[in-house]
Amino acid sequence: MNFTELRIKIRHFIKKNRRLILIIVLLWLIIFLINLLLGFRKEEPVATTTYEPHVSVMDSSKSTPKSLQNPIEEKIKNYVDACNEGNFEKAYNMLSDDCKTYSFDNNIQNYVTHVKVKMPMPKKYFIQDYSETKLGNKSMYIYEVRYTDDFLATGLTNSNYSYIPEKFVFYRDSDGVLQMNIGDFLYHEDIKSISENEYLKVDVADKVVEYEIERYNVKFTNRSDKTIVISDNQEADEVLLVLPQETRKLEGVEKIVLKPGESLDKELTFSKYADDGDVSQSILFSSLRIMENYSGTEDVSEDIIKQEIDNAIKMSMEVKVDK
Amino acid sequence: MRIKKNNKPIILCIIIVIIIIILVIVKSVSNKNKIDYSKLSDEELDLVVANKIQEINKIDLSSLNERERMEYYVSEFITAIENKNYETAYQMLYSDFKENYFPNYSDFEEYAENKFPSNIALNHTNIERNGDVYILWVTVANPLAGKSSGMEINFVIKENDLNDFELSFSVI
Repeated sequence: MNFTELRIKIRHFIKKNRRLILIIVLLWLIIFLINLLLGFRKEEPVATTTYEPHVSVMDSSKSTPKSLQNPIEEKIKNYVDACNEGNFEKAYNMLSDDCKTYSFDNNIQNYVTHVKVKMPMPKKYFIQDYSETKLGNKSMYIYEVRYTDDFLATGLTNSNYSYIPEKFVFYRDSDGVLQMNIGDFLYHEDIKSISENEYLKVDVADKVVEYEIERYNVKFTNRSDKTIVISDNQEADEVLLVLPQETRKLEGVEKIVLKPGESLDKELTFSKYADDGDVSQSILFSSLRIMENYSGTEDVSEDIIKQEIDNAIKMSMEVKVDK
Repeated sequence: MRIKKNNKPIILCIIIVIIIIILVIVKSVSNKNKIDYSKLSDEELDLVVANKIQEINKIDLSSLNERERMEYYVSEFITAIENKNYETAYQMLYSDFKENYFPNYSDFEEYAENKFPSNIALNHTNIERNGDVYILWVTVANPLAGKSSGMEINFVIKENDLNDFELSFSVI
């Protein structure tokens, strides 16, 4: 092939693929120009930080929806500002009705006492998405608010680094209004679950869920003419909250003893994190004793206590609390 | 869609015009970023140099994690004191902190002169983040005077942007 033939071939090829070549050249030119323009753009260096207030600390793959982030920040700011200004009525009115009822007994003085513990003087604060939990289909976003002194203004002169934490909970109510709970309170739920036999009726009316505990309002009715011991620390695990994989012991209550025919209202508290993913199944009264004789446990010899227990009718009772 | 034969020159012209326009834009953008240093006054030149240094600092700082940046800010403050640039150090202080402890520059100057050694070695022992405020525990010592010369100081820093910060410290 001589030079003329090659030239003709190239010319022929170009003529035949003119449109394709034109498109390729144009594309290349456009890419070249865009690249050139991007090269002139100045990338502003940014300060990286690990502070992500709306990313959950318990599960960093979860975060509060974008649409809620600003309203939540704003609500917390308005609330803390109101407390710092001493405008407790305004702050109190920002709380959900349930929070007012079950955390503060609808009494603003109780609320003010709570605030004085958390914020004895004007405080700075910062927020951190802690976790998310569900009540039915409703998502509840748990934030930790940490109250601090103005460290920047003092440089920690003559003071130590410390903060006071408080859990805030946010959710949309059935009308789509963003509600706020404070004081670790999450929600109240009616249970209305009854378990009964010829001796005893146990009526679990409702429960109050706080971040670290569940409180159950329980009414015991002794139907017999004998003393019934539900809990007096003489047996192991007398009252338990049953979870899918484990049980939790009763906290705080020393004794639950019913005289013949007596009715007794008790608040039973169990330790349970609201965001642990477990749903409480039931309350188990595992060592109920219907006593022939009951002398109590104080200043009574071990032998008598043992003898009375041996003579008692023993049974267990379980009340469902999972709705 | 087939292009009619008699329209081809027009389309070619349009493409060429578009290319020329883009080239002109690229040229103007590239010229915009260039500074003719020969036309600048001394003051303007100083400002440009300071901005360039700030830019370089920012780029360097952006490669650091937050702990390293906070330690850098503390060292900037301490270096200013070590070099007796008390005014520079004073400007780094948070305004409310200044009001509380050093309402006048002379108060700070006197304090820095008396309390900080002339040669300073820093030992960062701990750091905590409180939202966007960082608390550092630092041992400030005179390396020539031995370990016993060290004093424990807390530094509290708020970073507004890279190399843009305010700080305070525990006054001894």
